[in-house]
Amino acid sequence: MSSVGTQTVEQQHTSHEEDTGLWSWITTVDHKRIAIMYFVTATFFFFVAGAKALAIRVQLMFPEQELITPEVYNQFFTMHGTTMIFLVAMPMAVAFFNYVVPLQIGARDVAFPRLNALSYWVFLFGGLYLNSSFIVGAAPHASWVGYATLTMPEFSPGQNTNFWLIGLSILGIASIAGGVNFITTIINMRAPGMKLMRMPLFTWMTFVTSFLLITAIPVIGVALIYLGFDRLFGTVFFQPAGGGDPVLWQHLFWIFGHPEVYILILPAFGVISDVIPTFSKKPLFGYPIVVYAGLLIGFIGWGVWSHHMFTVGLGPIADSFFVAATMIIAIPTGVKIFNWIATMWGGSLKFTTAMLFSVGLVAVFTVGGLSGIMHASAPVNLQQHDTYFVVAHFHYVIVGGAMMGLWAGLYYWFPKVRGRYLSETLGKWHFWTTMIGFNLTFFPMHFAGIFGMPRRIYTYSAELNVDIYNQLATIGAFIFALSAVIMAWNLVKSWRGGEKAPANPWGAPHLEWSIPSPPHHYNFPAIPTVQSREPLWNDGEREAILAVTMEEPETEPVMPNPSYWPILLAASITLIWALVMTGIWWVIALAILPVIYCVFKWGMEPAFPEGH
Amino acid sequence: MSTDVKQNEAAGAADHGHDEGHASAAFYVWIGVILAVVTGVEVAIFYIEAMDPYEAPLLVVLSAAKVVLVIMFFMHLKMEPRFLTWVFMAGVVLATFMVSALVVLYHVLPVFGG
Repeated sequence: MSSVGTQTVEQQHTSHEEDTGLWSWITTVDHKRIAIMYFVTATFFFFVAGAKALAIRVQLMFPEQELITPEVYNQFFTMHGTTMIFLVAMPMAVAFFNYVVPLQIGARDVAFPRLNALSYWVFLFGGLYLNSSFIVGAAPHASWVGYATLTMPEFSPGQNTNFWLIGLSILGIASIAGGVNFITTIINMRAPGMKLMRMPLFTWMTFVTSFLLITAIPVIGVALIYLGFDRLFGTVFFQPAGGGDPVLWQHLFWIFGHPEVYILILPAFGVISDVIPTFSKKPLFGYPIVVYAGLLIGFIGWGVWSHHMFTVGLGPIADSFFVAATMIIAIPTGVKIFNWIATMWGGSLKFTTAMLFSVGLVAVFTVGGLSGIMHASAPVNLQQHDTYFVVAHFHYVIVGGAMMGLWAGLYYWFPKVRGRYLSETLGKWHFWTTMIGFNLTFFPMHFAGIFGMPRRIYTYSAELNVDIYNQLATIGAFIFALSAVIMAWNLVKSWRGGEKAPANPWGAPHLEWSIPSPPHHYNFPAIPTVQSREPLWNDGEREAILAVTMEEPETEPVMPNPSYWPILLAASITLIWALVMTGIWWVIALAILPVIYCVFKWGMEPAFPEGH
Repeated sequence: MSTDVKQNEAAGAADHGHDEGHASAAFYVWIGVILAVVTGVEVAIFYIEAMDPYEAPLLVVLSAAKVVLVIMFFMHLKMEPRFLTWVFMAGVVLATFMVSALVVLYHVLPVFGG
């Protein structure tokens, strides 16, 4: 191991002091700071959505309870799902994209740093706008899938659904801008020698996910605009009485919604594809196959949406096609699982917390995959649709898959971010309480669903005989909540007092570990040349890279100017969307002016310091 | 600093890209004018009754022409490496596939009993 592995945080910081005040964070365009802001915000929303989940579980612990009203229950499950998907799982993955991808490809920042800042601020304001609906007593209440005709004015007459459709429209802007940014960054800003097939798997999966983002989000954007027109202008896209078709909403929603599942899961697959080889001390087994499997998942993911709609009655030909496509997409997913296991096979395994979460993902996600195969069969699906079996399935996929992968990434990359380890003791407590709490919560739901408990129902009859499964699930939910508290405590405690970490604490193979921890604001004093997939594992190449990346530059590389226009533009964009709810059109028209002003000022502001 | 490193720095600096290969501002204004004129023609076609039989195909062709102009110039694809055109075309193929699938679901399969 070279000397890079032994330098601590103080030794690595000799030449540069960064501003740390509030204003420097508000105006930052540094991808690393934006990543931290994404992570902190997503973690905040994780606790907000988790509190709603606990309220749901307390309400369902015993049959025929009246602790919360049906309307509040509807708001809680709607906002739990909406928040977890759009304000937790997606942005937390984006936090990792932001921090890790430029470092992995040898870039000094993303391609469009100010656009990156805009993405974050739009996400933050969109999330706050969506949750402000609780303050005015009009939280969305038609579930995260917002099916027509439940969302039509006659069934949802207040502002509840308007908050939902406008909030998601705002958040979509952040997602599309982020997707464009990362595709451009990965295509254009790789270090010399880093061919596509030398990129770390996390970067590859970021690339595929970004492509899914810019193609899937516009579909729900169109659906939301139709919905908004139906609600605000009296159009009839989804109104059967006017010749519209509520099933069209389902098509549009799930054409977005199923790729969205892969938007959530592929980043986690990328994380563990980097973590498992590192802690197995072996290159990833079948690297090209894992890459192609990811691409295939991203592609086939577009052809399976109607498996969410088998009960609609599309007919045997359509159902047969979507059954086949859904069965087929299990193949590349299975290939990945096989490759992760084969990577560990015969390796020198080290079960750090990051590795535990990675292995946990493989185990738990496989359970979710198998229940997915079960209701991929249309006749079986007819029995399971809208029952707690489906709730169990998608939590195994999204929490057991996406979230556990991201927590693996948290423990893996935290030393790079902070120059200190997260506590491994607390980490293992976090992992085991997660595994026990998660499985105790969601595994019994399979049985509750099979025995006929419908989802999205605020209470259930004692005659259904599903009390025991609900009681186990509620106990599990509180253990799971405890795991989240342990994680938060670990973050707070280790941020200041964690054990100091060297630049490459895990002996990992990729470029992000070739620079000091935490990195300088310019990442790389000079851009290294890459010659292989695991550059830090190859003698000769490692030394050549470290000679470049650990060097103190005589003059620091020039980085983009900070800017306050992203936050102002994001506020203007959010304002104009929020004003749509007033229905006063001249006010909305006037609100375009600040948007135009911010765009103009942004355009005229120099991106780099004068003379560069 | 070694020669290699200096070369790498140059490569890194090139990442920021400058204005090589881009046309003048006036050129983009002209493209904008053409787009506005085509949009005007589209609106006119909608209101001219004699054009009714040809309305749909004409609007498809004119819209496609506008899309091509926007992606070539405002999205810079004409000035970018060919690889990016393929990236863009992947999205176009995907969108075509999805729209075709919906047309089949709504208009073809019902003819054959679902």
